[in-house]
Amino acid sequence: MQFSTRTEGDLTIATILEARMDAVIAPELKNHIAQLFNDGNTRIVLDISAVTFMDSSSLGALVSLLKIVGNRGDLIISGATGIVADLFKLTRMERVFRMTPSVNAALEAVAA
Amino acid sequence: MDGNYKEYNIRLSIDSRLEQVRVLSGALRGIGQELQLTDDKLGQLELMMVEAVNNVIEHAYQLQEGNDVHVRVEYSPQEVHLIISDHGHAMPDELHGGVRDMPDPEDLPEGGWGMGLIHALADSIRYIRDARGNHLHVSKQLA
Repeated sequence: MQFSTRTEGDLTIATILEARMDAVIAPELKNHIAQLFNDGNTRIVLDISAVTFMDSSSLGALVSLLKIVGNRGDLIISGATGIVADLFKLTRMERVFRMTPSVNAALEAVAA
Repeated sequence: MDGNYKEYNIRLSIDSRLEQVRVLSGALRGIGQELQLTDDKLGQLELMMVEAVNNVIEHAYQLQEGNDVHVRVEYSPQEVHLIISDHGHAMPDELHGGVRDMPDPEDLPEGGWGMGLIHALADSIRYIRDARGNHLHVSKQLA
């Protein structure tokens, strides 16, 4: 799985560079982001704006990451659109995740 | 040849490996783009198909490779009908026993959404188990 990282203050922006998050990607996604967190990046914005398709196994991986982060940090999901945003809505998991329309919106929300 | 003929019956199949599901998705996207489906409808069809095929690989074939997963795409201008078939074990009752509720978000589920998503997105859904295996029929209105 390809992703890039950069920091903005104490936030780590992890940008998924894959168009597709599916059952093959899900375990890698979980391991990579968990490693990022365990390396001390406790406030993570996961930028999924380039993702055009996500299935429920990747959603499950994100929930697993949310449990790992728990109250020891932040996991913000940014940039879900189209069927990816629909997946969060249909499963009602948008209630559980902190979600923003863009990375900039996440930065503004954290700064506010 | 009748240039106005607007119905298609397209058959696809993959081996029962999760890494082949994306190829199936690519084929469905190509079909949808050729038939000028909207991005919304195509995304919904893709999600239904992927969730159904993942279920087949996980439950009917129990993650064993070397088995066929068939997808039939029946298109008319009014409707797309997907038929996902396999020759594996019968699907667990909890997957196809009536209307599926989504897991409670407050329980922080890590799975169990597949059939619920298909029910939420499909206009009709039917599961048949016969001597040849499992057949899941899902329809999406286009009009």
